[in-house]
Amino acid sequence: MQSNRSILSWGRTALTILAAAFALSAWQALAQPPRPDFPPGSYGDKVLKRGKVIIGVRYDIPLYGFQNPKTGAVEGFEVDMGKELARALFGDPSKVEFRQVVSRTRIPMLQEGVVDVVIANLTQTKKRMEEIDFTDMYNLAGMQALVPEASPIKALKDLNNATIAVAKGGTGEQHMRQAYPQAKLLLLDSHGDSFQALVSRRATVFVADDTTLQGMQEKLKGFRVIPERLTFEPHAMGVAKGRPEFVAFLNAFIRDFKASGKWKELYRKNVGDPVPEPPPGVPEPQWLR
Amino acid sequence: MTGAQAWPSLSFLLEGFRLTIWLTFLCAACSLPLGAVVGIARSTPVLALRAAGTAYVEFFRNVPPLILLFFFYFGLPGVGVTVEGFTCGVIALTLYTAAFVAESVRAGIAAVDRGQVEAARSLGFGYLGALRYVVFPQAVAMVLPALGNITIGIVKNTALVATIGVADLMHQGEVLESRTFATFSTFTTVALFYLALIIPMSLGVNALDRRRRRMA
Repeated sequence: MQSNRSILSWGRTALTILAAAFALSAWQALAQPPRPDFPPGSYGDKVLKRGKVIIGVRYDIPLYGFQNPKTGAVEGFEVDMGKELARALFGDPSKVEFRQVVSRTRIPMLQEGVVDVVIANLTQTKKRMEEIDFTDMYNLAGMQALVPEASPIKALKDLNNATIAVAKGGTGEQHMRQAYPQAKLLLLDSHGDSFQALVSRRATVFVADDTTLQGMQEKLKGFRVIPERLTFEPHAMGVAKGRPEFVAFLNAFIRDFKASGKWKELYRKNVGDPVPEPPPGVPEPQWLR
Repeated sequence: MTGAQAWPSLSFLLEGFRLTIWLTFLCAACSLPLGAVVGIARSTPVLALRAAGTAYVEFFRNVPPLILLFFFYFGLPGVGVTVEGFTCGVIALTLYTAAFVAESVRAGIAAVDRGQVEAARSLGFGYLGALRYVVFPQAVAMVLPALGNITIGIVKNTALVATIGVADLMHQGEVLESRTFATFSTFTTVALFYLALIIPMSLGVNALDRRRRRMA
């Protein structure tokens, strides 16, 4: 009697696992890459007819969007994502043209129609949502502060008396001005210049997204990262306003990109281990500034 | 930009404009005398002075001013010398501009008729006396319009300090643009500010030029 029941319960457990596995594989089979099916005359249709997608990427953020100085090729997680997007649109990952964007030029280049989409460490913010449309989130970064090893700055509350180097035109500048009104801001043209200002002790703190800091590991000897995150930075693709069918396609692409395991594969390839879970598509309301 | 937002933005640009004027003034005030000294050195018969003057001009005229700026801003702290960004701007632009001033002054000195030097010497002036009372005043009068153009060049070159975080007109424009995303209207306004500074200078240069022609 006793043993019968235990066999029964084991059997039931096994059945449940089997069913779950079956459901999972069925769901994965359902999560096919989206097919581009745009109404004639729409923006997506224009991109399809052109035969390539034009994507704005960073050339200055190692691991995400970076021009390899030896080969001249652009590489990184966001660049690979762009190639996957070309595969989803045209069935061919090479049907893509990458154009360089920097923090300041990302939104103007979308608005002026120079690029179809930017995949460029672009944080979704309320203010930017008035200017452009955002897709689902594909990465969740966070702003962090870097200080010299011997710095008296231990926690975020110490930042109010600091001189903070930060790149012009990013979310960092805005956030630091509001959150640390007494701090002195040193606004420079790039993350590289801002970091150099910390190295040359013109600034006592350098602030950037952790995605930027990840790519600078070998330069960070003698510096330490303050573990608390200053902000959450939902990274999403940006598209000019008035192209809902194109955004819908990009969202379907991003969902498939995460569900198919490609997200993790390319994250491991570019950023390395440990590979986190892909973020949800919609950012928590408190992440949006 | 709506009217309500435009005014605070304008005062934000105005802060930068003040700094641009101040930077231009300091660079002009330092580079004109320095350039005159270098220009005179290049015109003397003393070989060592001539060589030093030539080396100065050839170096500073041929290095992009942005590199000079980065050298003083990012490079010098490496050897333990840290100078404020604004001061770096004054030093770099002064050194750069003085090379052009020196070339103008040298051209002016060369254009003064040799007979005048001989006449001055025969009247008992020494070399320096002839230079000071006879040659240099005429040389400067002749190249005043050129010096005016060089000063206008300073105004435009000051925009480079925006790259080292000095809050000049250009820097304020960039910050404003990144807040408002109003690229076109922001930089048009910035350009108008530069014009407001440069056009009176330009008119002044033209007036100097007319006066010089009348005198010649």
